[in-house]
Amino acid sequence: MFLNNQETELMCEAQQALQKLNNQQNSKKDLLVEFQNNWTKYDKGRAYFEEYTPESFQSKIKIDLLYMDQLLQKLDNDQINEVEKLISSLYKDVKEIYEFLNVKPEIYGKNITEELINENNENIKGALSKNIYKYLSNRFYDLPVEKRESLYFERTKEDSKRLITEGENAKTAIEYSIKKCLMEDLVSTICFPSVIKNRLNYVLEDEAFGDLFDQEQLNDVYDSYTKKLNNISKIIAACV
Amino acid sequence: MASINELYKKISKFANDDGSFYKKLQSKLISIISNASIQAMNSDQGYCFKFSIKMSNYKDILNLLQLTNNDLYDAFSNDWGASVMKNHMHSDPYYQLFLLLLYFGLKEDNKKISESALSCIFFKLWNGRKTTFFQYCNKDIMKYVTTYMCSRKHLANKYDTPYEVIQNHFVPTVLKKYSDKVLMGPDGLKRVFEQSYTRLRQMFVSRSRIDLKTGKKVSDGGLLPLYMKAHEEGKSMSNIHVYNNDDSPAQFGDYMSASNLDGIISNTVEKIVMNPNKKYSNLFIENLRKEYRVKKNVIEQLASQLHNHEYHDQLYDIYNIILNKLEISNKDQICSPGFSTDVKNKIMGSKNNKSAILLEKKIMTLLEDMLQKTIQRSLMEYSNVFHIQLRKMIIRIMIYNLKSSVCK
Repeated sequence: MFLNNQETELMCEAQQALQKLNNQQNSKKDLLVEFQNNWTKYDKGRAYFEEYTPESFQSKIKIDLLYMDQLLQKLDNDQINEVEKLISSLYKDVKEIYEFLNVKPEIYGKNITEELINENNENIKGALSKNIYKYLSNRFYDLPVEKRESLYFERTKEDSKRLITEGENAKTAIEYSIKKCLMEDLVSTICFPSVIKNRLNYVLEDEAFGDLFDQEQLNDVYDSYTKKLNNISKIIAACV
Repeated sequence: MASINELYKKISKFANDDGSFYKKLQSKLISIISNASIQAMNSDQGYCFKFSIKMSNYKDILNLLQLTNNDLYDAFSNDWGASVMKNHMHSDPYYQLFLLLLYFGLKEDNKKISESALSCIFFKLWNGRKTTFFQYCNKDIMKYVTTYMCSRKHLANKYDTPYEVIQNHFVPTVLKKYSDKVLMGPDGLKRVFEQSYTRLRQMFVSRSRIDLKTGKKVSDGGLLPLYMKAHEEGKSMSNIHVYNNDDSPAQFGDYMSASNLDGIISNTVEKIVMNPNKKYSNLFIENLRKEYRVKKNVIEQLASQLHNHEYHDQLYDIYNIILNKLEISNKDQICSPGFSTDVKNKIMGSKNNKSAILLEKKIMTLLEDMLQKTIQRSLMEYSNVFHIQLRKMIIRIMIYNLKSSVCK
């Protein structure tokens, strides 16, 4: 049998070994927690975007205005003057939002670049119309009825109700409300293609961004943009 | 009267008493070397380059060793003799301090200290020789000389910059040959100093002879005669000071290491860190808010945080990179209307070159610390495009301080 002091020594050693194992397990846990914390904080889209430049916005606006031309073809000159003012005011906000995000403005549509303006009118019209029709098909015409309903019923309900109470027949009221909804989405996508829109949504909500940058002002500009977008989509919906 | 050996013993005692002494001393020496390396990397002057040595570093080391210029003078005068002290270079406290550290480093077998100390000696020797032989130096002519005219054996052909030739050639070769002699005593220290001077000088002029036509002493080898030849062959040069007489004493200005640029940067940084409660104009803050979309109160916090004395060296390095890149040599350039445009185009718009990457790193390190201290956030939480915005804002604040310091 062991002597007392030998037993104590052995116990001490055993305790130390257990303590060491315990510490190792704890440190592994700590690392995992640290990793999780950092991962939550980490801006996942940090390296994806290029920096904003006034030149890149100029390129974007040239093409975006051609899109608008396509949408407003049926307006007369007086109406166009009015809408142009609205569009110009809308793009003032769009520009400011891009500046806030500090990302390179994106042009909507596959293979559409600034080079398009050098093409003849027919090619321009062809390329842009194709994109617009494709968008509308994907978002509405090619969808089954149930899907259309789930997408637009709630959004168009209030507008339709209001128009019907103002004396419009139900079919026209619903058709107009859906058109307005679609045009709002289309113009919004032209202004902010989906990657940028996702970024914008992220930044509008991100706490870290809000602690450093003027998120309140960004929200104000975004609200102003949304109101203008709503007004423009009403006009476009009436003329398409 | 003290001797060099007694000063060495004094330092050695500090090192024994204070466990962090070596660390402190080494960090101060490394700071000088890394500063010189940054300057060299940012400069496009080639062999026309002159080191800007921070005199504050020299003073810091002197304070750390609890020595004065007089202590050094007395010790060296005692060991080398009063007559030697008549020579400007032998009596220069800068050289004496780093020679003492060289002695200390070798005695203690601390390579870092001995190599760094000898590098510091060479930096100033370089400045002196460069000013003596090339008071006005055209970098294009010099580049032509080093590229096409120097023989393959010439050091200027082997190494791209004076920094490289010092670090990779002079320091190791001199230490290899003279370390044993230095360890023998003060005479060895004098020898290593004079040998360093002579070896460096040979880069500029060598193979001296008397010109029979003029009776003056001229040199056939080295950078100076080649440079002169290149100049005569058609390269334009405003003026060149030819200094051929070996016996003429060097002027004090030849050994001035704190250049104009160094003075501008040091003053600005000192003013920033000595003024922790600086009030920035509302207009300036508002402009930054509009341009970089950062919250007003955060801009004010960051601008105020910049005055934290802990950032002294970081600010110095950042200014150093910026002003070197802009090739600033006097105050008028900073106060000229085109300066801000230059900063915007050449600094903020510069990417993917050595100095831009280094500047980015330096500002990011500074920013990370500032954000932690102000809003308790990390740069990791922000995307790269926001980093760019923040870096530009910090540069704007630093340029504002630079202009306030220099132009008012």
